[in-house]
Amino acid sequence: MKLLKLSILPLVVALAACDGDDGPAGPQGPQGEQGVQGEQGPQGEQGPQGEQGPQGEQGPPGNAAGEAVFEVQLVNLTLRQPLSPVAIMAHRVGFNPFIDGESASDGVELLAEGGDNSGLLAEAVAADEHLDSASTSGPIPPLALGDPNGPSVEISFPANELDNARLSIVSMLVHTNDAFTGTNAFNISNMEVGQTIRLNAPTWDAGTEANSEVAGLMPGPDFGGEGFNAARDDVFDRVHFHQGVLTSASVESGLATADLTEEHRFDNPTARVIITRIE
Amino acid sequence: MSLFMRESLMKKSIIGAVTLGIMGAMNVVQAVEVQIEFTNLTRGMSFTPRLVVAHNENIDLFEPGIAPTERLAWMAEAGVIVDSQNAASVGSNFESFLNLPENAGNNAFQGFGLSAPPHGPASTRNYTFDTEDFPFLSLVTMLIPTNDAFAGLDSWRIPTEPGTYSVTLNAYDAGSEANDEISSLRTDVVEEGTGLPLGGYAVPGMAGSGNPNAVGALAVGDGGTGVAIQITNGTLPDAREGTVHIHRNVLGDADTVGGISDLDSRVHRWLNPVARLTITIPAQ
Repeated sequence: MKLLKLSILPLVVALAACDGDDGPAGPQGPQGEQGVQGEQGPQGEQGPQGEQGPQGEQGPPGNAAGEAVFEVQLVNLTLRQPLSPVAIMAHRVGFNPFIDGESASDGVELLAEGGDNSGLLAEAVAADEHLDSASTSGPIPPLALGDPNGPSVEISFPANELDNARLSIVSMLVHTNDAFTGTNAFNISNMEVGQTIRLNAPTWDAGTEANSEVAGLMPGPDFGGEGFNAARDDVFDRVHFHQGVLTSASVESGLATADLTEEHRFDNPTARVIITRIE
Repeated sequence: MSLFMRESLMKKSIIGAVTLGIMGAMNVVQAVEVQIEFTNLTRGMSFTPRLVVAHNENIDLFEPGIAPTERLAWMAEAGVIVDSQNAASVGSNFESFLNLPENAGNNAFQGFGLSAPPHGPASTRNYTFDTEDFPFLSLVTMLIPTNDAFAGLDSWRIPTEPGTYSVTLNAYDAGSEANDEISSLRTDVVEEGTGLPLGGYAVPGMAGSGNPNAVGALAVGDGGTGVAIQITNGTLPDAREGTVHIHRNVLGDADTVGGISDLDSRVHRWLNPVARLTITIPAQ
């Protein structure tokens, strides 16, 4: 049916153009259209046969199973902030892991305070808009602690879902109270097979935990303190952009009680997101 | 009030122009209403009324690397963009500039939030704006409490393809006032030479120190000695950096009654970007 319509279209356009040339006889337009419909039948049938070849080649943009497949990789751009196991979520328009200016979900709180992405991934799976989701097998270390190039993670979903497909990624900056980086419903619907997009990811503050910067309240290799705590005690309970950490580095403008050091500071962007559509 | 009357008059004259244009079948001023979702991404900064301007290449609200205009300083130091906000600004604010005979045909502008409280941290506002089909969009709004920080969008090309677009705004320093980080609520400090109180246009100190969002944990402190310049004998000079540039961020400190700054380092700092615009271009 699609082929038939496509082949008819040029004819309609051509005939419509003929009508246009007959401008002075404008009122006759409707009659002209009827004529077109009458003639299309036989011509339309002939057209498709000639054009089928190229159409056939365009047909399968993905793989044989009709799946769109993406590889997602995170690169840690910080000096001393491990990135927690990354929650990678493909979904349709309508789902957001979080919204700036609104309260974080329990899943985002759990991830942003403790580096545990299981709650957020469960929220994504439970959403009607869910397409596919995955986690990196472990955290992605910063330059000072290891290889900052995270592993490639594959996600896939039926290619016919591409039109409304979005990609969300969330990962904690582990040596903080509740900072995270990632993307929020990034539009991947126009990506071609073989195309790679690199994004610089900013840093959010979940707004769920006061930024005490003390060891007892920050997880990770440098501190090993408490991660998640259900209390919400930041200046306000709304997701916003992180203002950076104060650390104890400066006597005048720092935080004397902070266990974070100048090495833990960061600026935006804190992660590079590399998305490649492979099928 | 006078501003709103002026705006409604402007709208009428535009409608008139459209009618005439259709009658003449040429030179149509085309209404293009875009939806703007404006999100303050910061932790502790509020935004003064937003100036949104659609324009052609003859208009430039600000330019990094060169000296600030007087109108930019009015906006970045005092949050003033239109006459109704401050009588002393008439003739040297953005409204005066954009309405000049040589400029009026090159832009369409609107102030948002003129009669509302400042747009507080981590929150979103929605606006409808008629670009009149001009090709570029610019926006400026002061960050308060600061000396002369502003969030700016500089001549963003408006897409012609219908859809939803996202752009982020960085914080700039107008370069017109030294970042002393001293509260305009202070009565123990005045401008050097003039004895003027702190906080307004062309005087030191941070305007908006007492804005309604700067309360509780977000409140501005007291007793700071000055950051970029220091208080001497209860006075501060009206010093300046000299050029528009990306803001180097405020410093603040954790001492609410002393230290170097009256800002609180735990809430008033930011990392770029400080705002996001999500703009929806309608199908024509």
